Amino acid sequence: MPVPLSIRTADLIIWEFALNSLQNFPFTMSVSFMILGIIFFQPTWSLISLGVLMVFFLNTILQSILGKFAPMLGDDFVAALSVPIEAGVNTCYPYSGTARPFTFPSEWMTETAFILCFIIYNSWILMKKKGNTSLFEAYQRRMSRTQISLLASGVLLAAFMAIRYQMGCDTGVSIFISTAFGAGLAVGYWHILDVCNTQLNSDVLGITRNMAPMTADPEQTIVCTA
Amino acid sequence: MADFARFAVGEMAQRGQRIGVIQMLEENAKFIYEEARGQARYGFRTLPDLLLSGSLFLTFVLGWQPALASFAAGIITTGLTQGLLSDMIKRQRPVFEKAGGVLGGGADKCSGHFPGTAWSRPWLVMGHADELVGGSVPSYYMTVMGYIFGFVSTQEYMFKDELSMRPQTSSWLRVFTITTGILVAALGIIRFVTDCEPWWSVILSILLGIILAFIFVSLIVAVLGRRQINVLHLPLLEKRIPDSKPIYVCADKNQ
Repeated sequence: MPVPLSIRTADLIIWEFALNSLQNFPFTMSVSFMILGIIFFQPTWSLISLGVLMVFFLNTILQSILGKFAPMLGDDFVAALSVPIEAGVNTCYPYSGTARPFTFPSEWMTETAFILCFIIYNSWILMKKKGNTSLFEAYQRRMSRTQISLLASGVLLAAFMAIRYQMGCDTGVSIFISTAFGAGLAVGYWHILDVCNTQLNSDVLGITRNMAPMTADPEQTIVCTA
Repeated sequence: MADFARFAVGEMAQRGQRIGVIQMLEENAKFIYEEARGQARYGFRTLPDLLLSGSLFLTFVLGWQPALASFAAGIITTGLTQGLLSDMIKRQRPVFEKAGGVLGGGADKCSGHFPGTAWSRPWLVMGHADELVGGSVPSYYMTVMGYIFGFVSTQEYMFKDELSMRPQTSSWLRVFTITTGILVAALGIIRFVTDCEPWWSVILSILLGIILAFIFVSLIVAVLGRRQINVLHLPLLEKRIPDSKPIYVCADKNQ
């Protein structure tokens, strides 16, 4: 039985939105982290967005340095690392029309790995923490949130690696090295934000911030005893 | 003579290196400038869809955030309502037609959608797949921006009891609400200046977005409870436990 045109069109709408969302992932996430972090009072989200910006600068510098030296090692070596992107509209970097002659380490993959590995590392740290099991419901809720986050981010990262390879946007070697590079930067950045070891500025899930007493708040909530 | 030649060659090499480094820095600066300009333009054009996509991703990668899910659902509801309304208005007043019906944001730089078919016009796309015009008033872009401002504004009203106990959070929330208002107004002005829509359409769309936000938030609170829109993660005060007795009872000072 043929599928009605209206259903096929509805499919197309959802599919196109999903495809655009996936292709724009690092850009979408950094913009969303910045804006939603500001309007919803989540400083960690805005700090991650700044982190992505730093990764972008670092990546650009690395690309230009390696782009100078890599050709000395031969064309095969360059071909194993980089997929040149021409100027104009393209599916690999839909949010950018700038030409990229040398794309190792991959900007897209490094930024994506940075964002997702930051979340994964944060969830893993929170999951390892011993909770107050007497408050079993709250403890379980925290555990399930960290587990969902860990799983969702991990699956998404693996899917992105496969999609980028399948689309021919990055080479296999570049994908793995860029992901490792992004992951390393994410862990480092998480520890920089956690410099006071309080996890107030590094906890992207907002769990620690919600549990912490509001020391800056001069007015404490008074609860009468039963 | 040999020393002089060695010195000259060394000097030239050093100068060459310096020029190479300067050239590389120049290339990098140029790339970053072009990239920042291109990304800022793309971000501005597709901001409503970027925020929808971002909040959906964040809902899942942050381990299911109900408030963000509600926020995203609100953008979808707002977009669909706007799509329906603008097409109804277009049918009554063909003067409000604009190109891009089925193709949506593909070629229209002012649509606020990602390139491709516009998800906010399924009625038009499903019913009249060959139609290449859509309604322009109210606009998707500013209606969603109005919704965002409305959503943030409702927080103060919905959590007034909790916020009355947290004056600092309350004052921060007021700052963020005003900031959001300024951002939305600035976007409206940019859209008017760049000929994306007339000033009255900007105001009308923002008002529609705010009204839709209030209706949507009220519905969510009535059906699912306040926890679903608690984006600030405020600890909620529960006035009564299920057996209708107060949770907290003050100790008798005489005892």
